[in-house]
Amino acid sequence: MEWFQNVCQDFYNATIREDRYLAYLEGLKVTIQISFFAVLVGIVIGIIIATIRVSAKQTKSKILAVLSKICGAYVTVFRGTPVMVQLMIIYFWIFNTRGANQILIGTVCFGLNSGAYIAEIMRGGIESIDKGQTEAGRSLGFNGLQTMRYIILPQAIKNVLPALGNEFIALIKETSVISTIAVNDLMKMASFVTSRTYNPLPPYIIAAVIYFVIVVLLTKLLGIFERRLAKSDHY
Amino acid sequence: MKKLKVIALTAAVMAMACSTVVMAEEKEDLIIATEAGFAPYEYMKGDQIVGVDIDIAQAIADDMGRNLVIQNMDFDAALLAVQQGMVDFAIAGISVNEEREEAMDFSDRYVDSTEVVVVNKENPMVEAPTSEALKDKIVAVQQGNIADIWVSNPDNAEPAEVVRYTKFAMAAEDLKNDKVDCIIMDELPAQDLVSQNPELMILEGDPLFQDQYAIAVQKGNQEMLDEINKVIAQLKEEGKIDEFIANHTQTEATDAEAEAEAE
Amino acid sequence: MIITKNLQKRFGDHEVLKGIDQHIEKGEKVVIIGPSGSGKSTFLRCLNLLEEPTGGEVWFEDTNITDPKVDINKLRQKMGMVFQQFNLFPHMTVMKNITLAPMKLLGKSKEEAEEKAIELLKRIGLEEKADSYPNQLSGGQKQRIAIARALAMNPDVMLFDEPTSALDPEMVGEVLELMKELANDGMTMVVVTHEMGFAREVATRVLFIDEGIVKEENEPQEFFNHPKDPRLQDFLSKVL
Repeated sequence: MEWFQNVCQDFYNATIREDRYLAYLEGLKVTIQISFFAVLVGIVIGIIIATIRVSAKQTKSKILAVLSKICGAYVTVFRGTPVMVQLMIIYFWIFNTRGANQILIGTVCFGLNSGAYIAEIMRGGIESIDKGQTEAGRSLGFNGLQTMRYIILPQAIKNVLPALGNEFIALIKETSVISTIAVNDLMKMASFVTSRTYNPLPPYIIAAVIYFVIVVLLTKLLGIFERRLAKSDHY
Repeated sequence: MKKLKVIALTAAVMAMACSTVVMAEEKEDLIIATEAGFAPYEYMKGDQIVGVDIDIAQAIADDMGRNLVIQNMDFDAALLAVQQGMVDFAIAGISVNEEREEAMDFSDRYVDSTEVVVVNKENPMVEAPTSEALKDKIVAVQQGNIADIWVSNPDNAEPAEVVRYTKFAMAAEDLKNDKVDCIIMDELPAQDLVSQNPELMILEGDPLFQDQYAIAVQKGNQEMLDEINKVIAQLKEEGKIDEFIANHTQTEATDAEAEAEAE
Repeated sequence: MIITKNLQKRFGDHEVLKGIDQHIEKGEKVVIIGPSGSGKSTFLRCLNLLEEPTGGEVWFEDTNITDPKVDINKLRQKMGMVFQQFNLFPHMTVMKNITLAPMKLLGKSKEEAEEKAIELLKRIGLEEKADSYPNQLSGGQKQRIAIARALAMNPDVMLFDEPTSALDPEMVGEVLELMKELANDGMTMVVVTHEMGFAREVATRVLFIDEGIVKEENEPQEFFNHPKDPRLQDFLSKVL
């Protein structure tokens, strides 16, 4: 019973006392904003890179070949270095001016990083689509980009949705790294509360539960989306 | 695969055997927690952690006849480590306040600390080391440090934002880039920080506020507390603590001069 | 309408087309036969540049489409193509399959495009399948939809690449029937096929492509009844 009271007191200290629950909400807001915008940036970058790399293989365009090389290097660099290191470089060398928006920094860093992974996922997705689909599109008079946009990408995205979902989930959890540059995300807020209560368990358990709930909700959302896209698979 | 397992197992058994032998021969290590980014109290020299606090810790270890083991971690993590009993004590320029006293026990104060305001030399965004001057400014502190707790209290100051870093080096970098308006920190580490970063300076004037440092032990560890207090009293009596401070600030200064000459 | 001049195609060291000169006039129904690997499909795919020729020229409606400056996408709108594997877009309903290109490429409104699509679906007798997805259809139905999709662009010529080869035998008839109707309506058609009956009945001209060249060409009666080339004689004796 005493033990239970202690636990209650610990959680009280970590939440109600001095309105600390507001800290988690603030952190949650930052985490969600960064994750959401980073996912958008990542998808755009991923699709562009994947399109360039696949198209470069199909045509003899010199410009595309050069672009494809650049994209290849980008993917290799961003997948080959820890996101923590990328964050530090972006924070101290690129966004080193007054008033640099923290959400923006997070979005750029995690978006660029995620873009590299999504590019590879998308490339696999695009390459898994039968060549006949491209031929059908081109034979109707669509150019390469239109064929990609209307015919190949919708199918490719549907195929890689589970992998994309994993990437999003990984990304949300990975944004906790941004706490190291004193950005007040969920993780930072948990450590902040800990620095006041000297009891790490409640704040980190609360943070863990919040991360977990976000991921579960996202998984459910992706499931619904997947089922809707799978409509064309029904016999 | 089987062979590998056997090797691993043998290695593990041997390691265990060795460690028991060592433990039987010597007294248990004295494990302390600190944050080595707070010169002259604790800082890195090569791969060694040194400083005033470390000298004091060494004196305590010597007195107890135990081998000193230093764990370097974030400041707030150091406080946690001692609160959780993961280390014997934490010595890291720790100030005493009410909430901390609820969570851990503190030794006698061993040194006075003076908190100052560090700003960008070219573009000082704060005019004076006063509470009023901090109003609506972006203030950088080390998370969990006394300055953090002081500035987070609206009775003391009303800054626009408090940015909480784990490392002063990172706060200094952001101050140089004008991302924050000032850093509030202890005077001695601030002097070191400014000597390393000529773009920064300490605002002149009366100290922002004053405080004293103590050593933190796990709540209820009276035995350790008595031992620490005994050594602190001894060191104070012999004037050793001032000596330590002089040593570390002097070597800092000479190092900086040597560097300047080399350049 | 379509002219090929010394058309050549090689894949690496392998020379598939060794120089083909052809004139296909408006309204002609040209059927191309030949053993597998003879280059007949490659020839057809070179006509709308799905395969890029490595030598020679292809002219379509007085334009040299092998000229890199030509907007091939624009010209392909006028050349419908039907594939052996149908290549319907599986993520779209039948209706969307048919209306996508007219809406995006010809700038037709949704209503216009759908009206035309329904008209085409009625014509092929699959009106009730408008909201189905391709994998809810049989092979024969898929291929008829694919033909309708190509027709929705109002092409001047239709290219058929073995349109019945992937079908179960009982479904071949419905596709050939539709192609016959198209022919009767006066569509210019180039058809690669193994259906000798269709060639005999519908073709205005039959080509025998073997080893990368046109070995023999003639109107169907003469072609099938009095083949001159020994390879063609041998081929016909096996397939007829």
